[in-house]
Amino acid sequence: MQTLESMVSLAGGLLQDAGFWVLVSLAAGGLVHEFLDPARVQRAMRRAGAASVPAGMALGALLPMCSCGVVPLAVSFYLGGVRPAAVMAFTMATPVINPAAVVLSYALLGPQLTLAYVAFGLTAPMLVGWTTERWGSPSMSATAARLKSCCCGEEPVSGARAASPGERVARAMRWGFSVLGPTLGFYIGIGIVLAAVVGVIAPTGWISSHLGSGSPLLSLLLVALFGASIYVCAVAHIPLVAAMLAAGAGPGAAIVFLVTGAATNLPELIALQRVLGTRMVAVYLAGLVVLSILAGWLVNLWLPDYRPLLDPLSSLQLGDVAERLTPVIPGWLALGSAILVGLLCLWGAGQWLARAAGRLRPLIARPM
Amino acid sequence: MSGLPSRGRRLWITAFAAGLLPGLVRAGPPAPGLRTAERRWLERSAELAGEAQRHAVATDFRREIEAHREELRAIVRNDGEKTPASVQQLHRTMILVNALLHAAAECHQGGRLVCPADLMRELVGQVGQGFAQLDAIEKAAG
Repeated sequence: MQTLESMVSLAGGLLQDAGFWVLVSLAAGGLVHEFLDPARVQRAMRRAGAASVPAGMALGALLPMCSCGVVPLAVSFYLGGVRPAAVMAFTMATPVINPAAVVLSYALLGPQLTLAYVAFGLTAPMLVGWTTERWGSPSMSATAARLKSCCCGEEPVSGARAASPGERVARAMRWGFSVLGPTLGFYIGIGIVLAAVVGVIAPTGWISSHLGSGSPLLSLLLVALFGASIYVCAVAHIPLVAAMLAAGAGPGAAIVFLVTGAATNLPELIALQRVLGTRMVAVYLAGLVVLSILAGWLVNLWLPDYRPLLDPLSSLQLGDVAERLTPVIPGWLALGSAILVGLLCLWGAGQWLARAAGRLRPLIARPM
Repeated sequence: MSGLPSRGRRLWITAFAAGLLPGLVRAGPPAPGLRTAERRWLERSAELAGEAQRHAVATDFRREIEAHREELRAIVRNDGEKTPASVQQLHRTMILVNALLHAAAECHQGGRLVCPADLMRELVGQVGQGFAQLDAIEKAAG
């Protein structure tokens, strides 16, 4: 009973952490869907060539969203014709690197480890993006096709009055919240439940013990896999990683936990898998895990027995800067957003049940 | 959870923490090498860690953490730049404790703190580490 209570409590916490950014991302995704013309985007992608991938990464690095929040916007980019490498680079860079995380990392983890974090945080999304595009064989999943085809009937027929900007914004919000919202919300909801189960079942102190484990490569692999499945927000976890580092953890494992933890989690992976396909998400996850282990191993070689030695007053001042750069979501807004996202999850579950019932009906009705 | 300190009380606490008024509470001058401000700050940190564990109200806790951080800034500033390495190390531990308390303030559900076990363990561990460093410094100073 207590375990169930802990799971519900953890799932509620995850919804509150991610809810506001999921709603922002749904609104932004709606605008992308309405205003981004896929044909023009594809022409621009062809012109930009390889430069579109660093552009996707740079856009992600400036946004302060965590990994659940980024999904609707990334899916809208994908449906809007943005090349998969750029979409995946954006998806990974957004939660991993942002200005507040970099400043806080400098304040608590020191300059060398921050340099490693930034270098890895900027190169890994591009490499993972290219890997995903090269081996992921992007194809239109049933969910993606349903999302893409939806609402096309609302295009104005020739000769009819063109929609005003206000009407287009309203249409964008309708698509974002009534089409994309329930579809992704359902899978994000499943992911949140699974993440809560993992969070409660994983033994207490697991992270601490493996961040400082004696077998470096196994430790890096376990930390990467665990980090990729749980919900980690880079800014909130830097103090925890700094404390573990002070207690003797290896710097490589600290970097692996920060990057894989922030880059992805179960709700994100499940939602992306439904839209981008299993193969693409598997290549994305494998690329992330392999690259992070390599980066952790290199950091361990570069900084053996690393302990951050920063001037205390500078550290405090940088901490203040990081705090100013971190958007604070008021409690009432976080709770309200969590309730709305919860309702979108239920709406999506209802739609899924209706589709499943529709598929079953002919089988049941078939004469024996 | 204790009520919020008023602005005047917070200034008073800060002044104490900064070591500006220790003479008022002591019968005589403080013993050389005794770091009263740091000890008070760490004791308060232990209290705050206890409040976090007892699911304190998040908004009140965040305000207390802000005041606590200002006390720490005053302590570090008051010590000046030519601080011995051992004291700098203590200050770094205190900064880490403050950052962990900040992280604890961010873990809330329905307005009350619910901290992950890993975070609480590291917080308690770092407070203990701070006390150990402080004892070593005071012992070395005689």
